Formats: sequence, structure tokens, C-alpha cells
Amino acid sequence: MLPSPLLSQLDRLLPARAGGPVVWRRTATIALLGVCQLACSTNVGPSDGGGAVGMGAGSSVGAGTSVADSGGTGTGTSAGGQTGSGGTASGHNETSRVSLAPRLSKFEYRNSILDVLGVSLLPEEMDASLGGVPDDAGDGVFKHLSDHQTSVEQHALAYGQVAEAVAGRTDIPALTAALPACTQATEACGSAFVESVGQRLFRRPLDDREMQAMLGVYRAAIAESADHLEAARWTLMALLQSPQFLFHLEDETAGIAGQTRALDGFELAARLASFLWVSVPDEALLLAAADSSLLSPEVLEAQVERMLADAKAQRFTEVFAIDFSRARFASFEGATDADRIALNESIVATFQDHFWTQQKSIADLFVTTRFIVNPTVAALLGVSSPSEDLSPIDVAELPERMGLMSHPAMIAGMGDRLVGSFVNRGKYLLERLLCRNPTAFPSTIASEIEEFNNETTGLSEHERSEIRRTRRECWACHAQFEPLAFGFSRYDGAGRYVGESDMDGKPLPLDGWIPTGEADEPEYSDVESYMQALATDPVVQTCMTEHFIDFATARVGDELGKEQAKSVREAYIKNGSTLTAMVSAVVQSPVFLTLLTASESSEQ
Amino acid sequence: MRKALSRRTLLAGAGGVLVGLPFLEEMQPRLARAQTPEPPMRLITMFFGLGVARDESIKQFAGPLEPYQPLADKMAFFTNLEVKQAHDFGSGEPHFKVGDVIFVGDPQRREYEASGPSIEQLVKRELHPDGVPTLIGSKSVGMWFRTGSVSQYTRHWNADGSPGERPERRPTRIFQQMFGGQTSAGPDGTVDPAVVRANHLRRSVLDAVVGEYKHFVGDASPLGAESKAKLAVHLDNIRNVEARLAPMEDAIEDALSQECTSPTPVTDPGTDIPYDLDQGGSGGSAPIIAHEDFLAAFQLQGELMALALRCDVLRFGSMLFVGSGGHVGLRGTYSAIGDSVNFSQDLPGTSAHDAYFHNNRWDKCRLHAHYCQTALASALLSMDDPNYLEANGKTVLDNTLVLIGTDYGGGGTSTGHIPEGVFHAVAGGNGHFKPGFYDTPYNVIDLYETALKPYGLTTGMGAGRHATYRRTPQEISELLV
Repeated sequence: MLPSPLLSQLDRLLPARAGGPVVWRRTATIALLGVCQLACSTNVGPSDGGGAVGMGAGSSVGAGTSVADSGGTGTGTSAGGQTGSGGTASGHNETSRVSLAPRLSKFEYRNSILDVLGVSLLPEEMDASLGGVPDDAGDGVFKHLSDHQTSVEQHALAYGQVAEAVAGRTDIPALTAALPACTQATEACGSAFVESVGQRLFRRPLDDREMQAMLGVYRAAIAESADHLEAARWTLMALLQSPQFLFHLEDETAGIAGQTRALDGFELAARLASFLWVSVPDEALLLAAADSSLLSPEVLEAQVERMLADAKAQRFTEVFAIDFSRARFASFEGATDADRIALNESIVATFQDHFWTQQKSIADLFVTTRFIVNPTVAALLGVSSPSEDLSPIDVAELPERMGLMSHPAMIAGMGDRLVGSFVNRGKYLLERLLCRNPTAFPSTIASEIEEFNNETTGLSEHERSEIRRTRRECWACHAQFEPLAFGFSRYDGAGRYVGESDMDGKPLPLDGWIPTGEADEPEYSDVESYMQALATDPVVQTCMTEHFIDFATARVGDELGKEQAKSVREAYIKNGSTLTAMVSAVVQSPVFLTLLTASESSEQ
Repeated sequence: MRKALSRRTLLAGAGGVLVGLPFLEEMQPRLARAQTPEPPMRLITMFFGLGVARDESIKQFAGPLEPYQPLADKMAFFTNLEVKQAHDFGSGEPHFKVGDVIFVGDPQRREYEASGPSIEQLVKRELHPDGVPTLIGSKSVGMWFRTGSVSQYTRHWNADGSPGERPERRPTRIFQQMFGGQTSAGPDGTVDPAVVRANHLRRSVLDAVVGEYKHFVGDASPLGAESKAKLAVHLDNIRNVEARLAPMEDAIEDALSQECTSPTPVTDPGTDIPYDLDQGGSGGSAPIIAHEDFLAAFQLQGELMALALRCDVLRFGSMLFVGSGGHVGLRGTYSAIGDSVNFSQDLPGTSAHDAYFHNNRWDKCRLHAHYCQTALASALLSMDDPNYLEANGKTVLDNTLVLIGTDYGGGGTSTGHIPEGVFHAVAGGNGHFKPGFYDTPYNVIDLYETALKPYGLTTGMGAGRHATYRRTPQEISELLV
């Protein structure tokens, strides 16, 4: 029996054209199977040079194990009672994954310093081109994900320089106001400072070794005639550059090697704060971690509710929206930094309004007609801006606009300057809507791609796509993502609606389908039917759940995430389909509550 | 107060009157490293994009390699190397896949990521496991525009194969990183005790930080292998910049003892070069830059790199002139080797990659290749300046191993993406290599491993997946003296 995705691709393989709109033949033939299976496993062709460049990284995580139902989501246990069969250093078992020590995202780094020290980072400290912290560049939709997160020299340099600057701007007396007044540079004062500030930054109490290491700096400063305040500043510089602050370090060797274990209280608190506040735990959360009460489902739920009620929770949806839209990288013809800022601002505000003010569901996001716009985005929509600032508008009167995906920021985030590329847009949509990456094309077909590009120079995207549809070696894999892009053909790179035909008068049909891989893939013929299908299709909605899991666990989606997304989504729907319900379901999932300890072989 | 030479002194003393190219002529000839007759092991890689066709490289100095002619007795040229392992493993755009292999040897570990360290990082790590005793651990510089893939521009690969430092473009920033603010001396050239004290405390901070990283990558660490590897890369990066974070008095003295006084500050060539542009996309999205300016910027980078080597500010680095695939937009007419190419006419809205390489315009590719060699040769000539002989009477180039590499050569009737006939060269190399032209079809890994042989290094290149691609089981014996 063939897997359904392949059958589905075969269904789409042969278009029967009769001089009019494409009619898709849905019959698969056994005769095609061998050819198509081969083609699909080896051919996906982003065009080299003439258009898009292959960027799909593919799923890189996991050992390809068959994932069983995790069963249960209880806390304080071994995650549903299942234990792994070993896993791999980069993989997962039935319930949990290895840690991979995520480095703090730039947002988390900024927020942590603000929340613990009360110091706001300066713009130049967050701008790598000015010597600040480099941008996050991890794999996946969200750039803070730890898989293949890179570390460059600029990280080390910026962390050091920013640490010194931040220490200089920190109000040390205010920071330690709750501690006994320290006017003398003494061992006791140094210890009190390291203990209190250290546990906020490290997200757990320091052990003796760590205390001594940090006190070593304090002592060195005293030896150089520093007073307490100055010695504390030098010590703070060390705390801010330490791996315990800059990386999420979990004990990967506790328990049985290669087995699932539940997080301890501090590890769980750190994950919660990273997920919901994009920051460090506060004192209340650390207290719940210290007495392990956080490990009980009731306390965990209460803490989640408390955290979501805090304004800091809006950081999570802000970062989610920034990475999900990719508007800040918009590079359509003529795009300026101001455009990118405006697009990003509008999409973030739309997310925040949808989830926090309107209390709407994730599915509703795909059919909302309420956008929060600024003058730049209003102009792209072709409407007058209600004000010079952010304002809500209803786009129900615009037939070409419905839902998040029709927001100019989303469309502008889909591609580079080669806008309108079905390949670029399709891959962007595939990753975001179906949580898949296309199989990357092998270099053995590079010459065919070049030939195609040469042959189709000057043709429209629709014409190029139609030619690809007639070539099995192309379409077997382009069918994975191009159909997602057809519905966006009437928008230019900036997300402006261009009408029903292009500049040459050629029609811009919207017909397409959502290549879910299921037996009955949803079809669409206009924006409304497309967005309605996205809002209701279980594959798309489960993918959205996967995104929340990925975001929360700082890991690229894998089979484990996909599997657990189903039960998380069920819990989310059962509990009202609100953002709170989604967060609650995610934090109670085994993948969030547990980790896979390092196997003995991986420790070598 | 102790009087000390300070690079910052001249920076401040310039009073804002910056002097542009060329600045090296303004410096007095001097002997560097007078106290140490044996120069340290130094390794620089130089990469240019879009290759040079074998049909052209075998013409030797009558073709695109003509700019190297003044260095003929110091260079070994390989005109027919293979890089088949790049094609046989993994996925991705062909030029980028090759980019992952050049100076690494093994095929990519996954799409757009190398399988291990680049050769200069590998040597640096073996010779200096606790950090290089120079102000900068390593430095990547280059002229390139397009951020579609890290494999296009990255030539510094970390020990775990993740991309290292992006090549810095802006010469004034490179200058500042190499020569600015790294001593305890104040603007008046004197050493302020308060600054020395602060630097001592910065060193204490860094010692504590490094100690924590060592703990978490060591045997007592509670982390698994992959988390340790991630922290180890960060620790490497700290070591690369620790002299900038916490200048050490002995390091300062060492640098100053070489009479390597402050160079005159530089200005960035080309007023319209978008040095800080960070933009993806291909072809037409490449900025259009006057080819003279683009070249001048790299030449200045080369001079700064040569100066940094001479002053022992760094010993390891990489230079890049046009990334893999060659997506750079140029304007102006470039003339060389009896021909000329009108970039302004050919390249608006596209790039050499799209207009020349993909259209099989080998007549124009050869001039693009010549243009690239002009850039790299200028950097080599800066290193070979006879006015700056080292203690052993040799030039910096003589005392430095330089590896030159590129991606596809293409040419003839091929479509270009052929992992054969790839060009590489070895320059300098401490007298270990026989100059000349080599057209034997070795694999690039043969060359990399042979290049390290004379230095007695024990760390092997890559993780071994290149093994079946070797064309010689030992070394390229004809290359070794």
C-alpha cells in the first residue's frame, strides 16, 4: 500500500488541458508508480540562477523512528510512562527529545536583562552591523530553535561588550535592595549578590562550584581596591557571559542514559518562562520550582494562567508573529527599512489584537477580516488609513482580503525580490501551513533546471508553472508546494492586489488546492474558499499546533512533534480553542515536560 | 608613566583626517619579529567565486591566471582538481554544495553546512587548543553580496561544521577590529594605570567565564555530546576574541616589540558600495557596483590582512572575493588579456553568474575569472612586500601558507556544473612546495592533506567521507620539496 502523500501526488500528476482552465486528473495508474516514486524522491527544482534558490533544509531531526502515541500527559512522571528505546544524540524516542542547549534568542537575551537588571539594551547593542548581538539564524520557522543554531565570533564579542555596558548601567543598590545593606566589600556581600542575582540569570540556584567561580571575580576586584558596588559590576559581567545564562542548559546525564526523564522544577520553570515570557522566571516561579510544587498539574496550570495574565506574555505572540510572517525580511522591489518596520509592526499588532484583545482562535486567524494597520499597510491594501498610528480596520469589503495570509506583511514575507515566484511562495507556505519542507533537488538535475530556465525566460509565473505541470520530473515534487501559491498570484511582492490579469493582460487564475497528502485534498477557487479551507483543514490546523510546540520547545519540528500535535490540538479544541487552551495543552505535553537523557554513545 | 606605542595613538592623532589607499607606502620599512627567527605557522585561505575554466587555466599566465605571474616562483597551480564528493552527497544548489567542500574536503553534513572545520580552523585548533596567542584568533574578510545561503560566502567553518565568522566587508571596520582599541595605551600614547587595572579585571571576568565553558564541555559536564559541541564552538569563539575583550599586557608588549606601529587609518573605497547590505536573493538582486571600487575594497582588505599577519595580530584567516556562484552585479568595462567585457551592458538586473555562466558565455567568464585573480593576486603581493622582511629574511607570504580555491570551472562545451577541472593554488608555504603548474586530476582533499604534511600536523582533514575520492593514497609527492 502506498503512503497517501504519494498517491495524492500521483493524483495531481497529469493535468488534462483542453484549451481552457486546467482540469486535474485524479486517477493514478500503476504504470506511473515507479516513475513517479523515483521522481519524487529525487526531484524538486527550485530554479538555479533564473529564480528561486533551493533553501529548504528538510527535516534534520530524528532518527526516523516510528512514533507511538505518547499516551497521557501527566507531570512529575516519566511522561506518560513511556520510556525510550535509546534515541540518538540528535533525535528523540517516543515521548521526548534531547536538549541541544538552546542559546537565548536575541529577544530572550534582551528581555532577560531587562527583567532581571532593569536595563534596556540600546539599539546598537542589538544590531550586529554596529557590533551588537547577531541575529538568530536557527533552522525552522522560528529563528531561536536550537537545531543547528550557529555561534559566531560576533556572539562572543558582543556578549562580552554588552555585558560590560549593561553592568555599567545597572543600578546595583536597587537590584539588591532586598538584601542586607552592603557597604563593605566583603565575602558575605559578594556571596549575597552572586546568590541572588545569579539565580535569576541562571534560572536556578548556583551550586558551590559556580558560586566560587563567580566569587573569584568579586575577590579579584576587591584585590584591586574595588568597593562592593564596583566588585558587583565586575561579577555581573561574568554572570552575563556565562553559559548558564546564555544557553538553556538542562541536566542531560541525570537518570538512565538514553531514557526519558521528567524535568525538574527549575528546568520546567525555565522552559515556561522562555516560552511564555521569552525571558527568565520571576521570583514566584522560582519559588514554585524550588519546592517542586510546579511539578504538580494544578500548580503548573495556575502558574500558566498567572503568566498569561502578565503583560510579558505578549512577548511570545510578538516573537511568534515576527518569525511566522518574516515581514522584517521583505525585499520586494523598492522595499525600504521603513516599509519592513511598518509591515512587521502591523502583523504583530494584528496577532496581538486577535489573540489577546479579541480572544479569537487560531483557526479564526485564517478568516479574520480585522487587520491592525498603519498608513504603510493601509496604502498597500488600497484603503485610507484611519490614523497615523496603528488602527483596526475591517477588510470584509475587499474581496481579495480575508485572513492572516492575505495580510500584506505575510505576502511580502514570502519571497525575495523575485516576487511572484510560485516556487518561493509555495515553499514558504508549505513550511508554515503544512509543516513540511520539500525534498531538495539533487544536483544531477541541475542542467535540466538550467535548460528549463533558459526555455522559459520571459514567460509569466503561471506559464512557467504550467510547463512544469506537464513535466513529470518537475511536477512530481513541485506539486508539493506550488498549488499553495496559486491563490496568491494576484498579489505583487509587497502584497498589493494587482487585479485579475498581469501587466501583459494574461489572466491570473486563483484555482489551486492544499496538498495535504490526505485522500481528499481541499480545493479552492478564490481567496475566500482558500482561507476557509485553511481554517478548517485538520492537517493545516495540526501544523499550526506543531508551530506552537516548536516555539515552546525551541526545537525544529520532527515526527515526535507531529505526533504529539494531534493530542495537543484535541486538548486545545476541547478546552475552548483559545490561546490559553493552546498554551495549556502544549505545556502539558510530554515533549515539553520531559527530556531524553544523553545515551552513553553520545557522551563519548 | 610608561610610554608605549599604541595603534590607537595614530588613530586619534589623525584628527579625523583619514588617508585612503594606499597607506602601506606611508609606513617605514622595518623588520618584524626580530626576536623570533622562526615565524609562526600561519594559514590563510582565499576563495573566489565562479571558478576558472580548465580550458583557460591551462593557458597558465596567458589566460585568467596572468595576475599571478609576478609570483610565479612562489606558487603552485592546480588546474584539474576534482570535487566530486560535493555532488555525490546531500542536496542543495550546486555552487553552494561545492562551497561546503572547498577547504574542508569532506562533503557537506547536511544542506548548506560543512561536515567539519575549514582547514585554517583545523590547524588553529591543533596548534593552539587553548587559544591563539595573538590579538585575533582568526579573521574572515571579503567582498560579496548575497545572503541566500551561508554556503555561498562562508569559508570559516567551525569544528562541528557550523558556519563561523561571516566575511567582514567594510575595511574601516576590519581596521578597527585588527588595530583599534586593543592596547592599554591612551590617546597620548601613555599607559594609564586605571586602564591597566580595568584590563586586569576584564581578564578575571574572562577567566571565570572560560572556566565555566570548560566545565560544561569537559568530562564533568552534565550535558550530552551535541550540547557540549555547541558550547565548545562558543568557547572557541571566545578564545578568538578574548584579546579584544580583555587585552593582556604581555600580548600588548609582544605586539609592540615588533615595531609594528600604528598604521594610518583607512577609508572605505566606493561611496556607493552598500557594505552593510544584508539581503537574500539571487541574480538581479545583487547590488550594482563599479568594478574598480569593488576591487579596491578587496585590495584594501588584502593590505590590512597582510599588515595583521606582519604584526602578528592574527595567524589564521580567510579571504573571499565573490561568493560561490558569483552573484555580484558590476558596472564598467573591464579589459585584460587582449579582450574586454562591458559589465554595465551585460549585468544590469542580473549577475555574472546568470548572464555569463548560465549562458555559456565562456569568453566573458574568462574575464570575470581574470578580474577575480587580479583581486587575489593583489592580496598576495601585499603579503609579499619586500620592504617588510621577517627575521628569516623572507616576506610574510614566504612564511605563510596560502591556499586558493574556487567552485566550478566550467568551460568548453559543458554547462558549467562539472566537479572536475577545478582550479586551486598554493602560495608561499615556507618553502615546502614546488612552484609550477599541475594538471593531474587530483581530488581537492589530496591537495589539502598534502599542504599540511610538511607542518607535521596530525589532525586529519574531515570525517573521512572523502576517503574514496582520494586520487593518491599518500600525498601529492610531486608538490613537495
